[in-house]
Amino acid sequence: MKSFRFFFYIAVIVILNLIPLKAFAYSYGDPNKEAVAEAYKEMKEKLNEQPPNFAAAKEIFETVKEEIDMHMGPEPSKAVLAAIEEKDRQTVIKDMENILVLNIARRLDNIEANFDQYDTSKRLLAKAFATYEALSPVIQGKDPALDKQLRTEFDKALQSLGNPGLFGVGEKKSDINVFKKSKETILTTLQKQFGLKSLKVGHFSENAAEKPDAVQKKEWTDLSKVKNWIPLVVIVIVVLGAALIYVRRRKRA
Amino acid sequence: MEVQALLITFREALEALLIVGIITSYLKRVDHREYTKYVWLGAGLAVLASIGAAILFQVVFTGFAAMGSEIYLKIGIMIVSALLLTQMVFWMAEHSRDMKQNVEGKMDQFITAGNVAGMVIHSFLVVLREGVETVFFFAAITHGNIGAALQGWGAATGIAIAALVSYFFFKGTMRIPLKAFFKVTGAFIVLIAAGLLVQAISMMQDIGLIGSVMPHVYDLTWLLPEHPIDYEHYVRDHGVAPVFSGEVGVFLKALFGYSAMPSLEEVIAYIGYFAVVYLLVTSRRGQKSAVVEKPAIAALEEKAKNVM
Repeated sequence: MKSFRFFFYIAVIVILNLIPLKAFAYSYGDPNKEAVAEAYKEMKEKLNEQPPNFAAAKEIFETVKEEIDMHMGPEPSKAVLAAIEEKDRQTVIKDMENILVLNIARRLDNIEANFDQYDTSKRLLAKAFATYEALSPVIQGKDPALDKQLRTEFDKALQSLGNPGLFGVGEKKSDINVFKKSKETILTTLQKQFGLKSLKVGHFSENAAEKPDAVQKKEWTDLSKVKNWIPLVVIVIVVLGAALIYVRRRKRA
Repeated sequence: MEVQALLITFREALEALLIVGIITSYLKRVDHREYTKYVWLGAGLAVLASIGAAILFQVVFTGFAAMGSEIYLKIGIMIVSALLLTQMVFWMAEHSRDMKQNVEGKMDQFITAGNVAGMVIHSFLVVLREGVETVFFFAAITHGNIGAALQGWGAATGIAIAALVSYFFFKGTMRIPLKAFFKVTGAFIVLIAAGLLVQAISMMQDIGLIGSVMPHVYDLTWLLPEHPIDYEHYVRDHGVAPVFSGEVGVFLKALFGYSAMPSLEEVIAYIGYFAVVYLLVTSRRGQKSAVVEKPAIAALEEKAKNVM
């Protein structure tokens, strides 16, 4: 009877916990990483192999294709896949770079549309900046001063978001005009540098109100990298170690 | 927002109070109420530390480079929490056995300065983990204005309900034999600790800190997505709704580390964790019964001092 009551209390807690919790931001992802930019970097690595590994590059691209299609329409993906098919390394990289510029434009547009939502805006800007980081080596190769200037503009944009502070500590007012100015500078510079006719390609099928990301686990894994094997090896060693201790203790007992 | 804040503080406070409650009711059961205040002191300090963490992330770490640091803090706390909870399980398993061999009056010997310090650290870290989680959840529902979530009636009501539920919960357990109490709460703690460990692995893989040989062993999003956002994405991508709501998934995830699409490492770590805890607890039992057969009760006391 007593243990029944105990389990009853546990059941009460479990049921009370089941009360719906509305969608909280749920991105485990590092705010400083953008999936499309990461895919670009990995693809570039594969395409720089001798000979270029187009099969691996395609596999990596497939992991972000859906996201690109949803936000930019089907054309950019078609172009990338066609270039991979033709084994045209330069065009694949160029098309991916254009996609990254469009991605920055998308993130900055969404910030402007939700400017008062500090937490969301901050994360979106971090993602835009992470995307720029992937492009930065290209700009730096052409004009190091320009790269520095763009980084300063991203910092200015971050400052312009202000800070709600905590109980009045560290509160700073936001300034949308400063943000718009930085956005304009960043986008026009990138458009010119990468020779894009417009930043409005397929712009944008989803509502401007940005929702938090679901956890996007990548389908693709590189089995040739030692890094990918380490966690598995560590876990197996720990379990086997425990089993060994168990066997030894039993023998002794 | 008030209801959201209520649900957040309710859930987080309940989780913290469950662990703190297990520790304080243990102290009561062994007639060492005088240490209870230190456990609550640890919990109180953790609340202050959580506010400190909130200030740090809201005001100090706002540059691009520092923005990702909150996830490292979460991962760090989760791993430490999982380790401490595991150690608590060993400690409880050991004591529930000792109780069988000793009359309850001899219980004094189990309370040492080390034990008490361990309990205080436990309560500090458990409350800190829930506090930091509350801070990040509040940041999400208020779009960054954490203070706003605390100003309404929601947050305070959530804490009050959690306190009430835990009070009645532990009032009920006082009548249950200590051994049964340890067994059931121990099992509960093992589940929570395993969940934390797997969530930490999942986060580390999501941010690319560690790799994976097989990122998805299976995908149960169609059946039970792990979060309402995954539910929404599934509906958007497939046009049909998953069988169960993401609300169920988010609960299972928060409490037991459920994942709709775990990596191979998560699966093996989850199963391996139970295997390791089981093997180590039973092997200690074997060793202990061998020691007890010898007429040396002192050895038993020595061992108890070393625990925790």
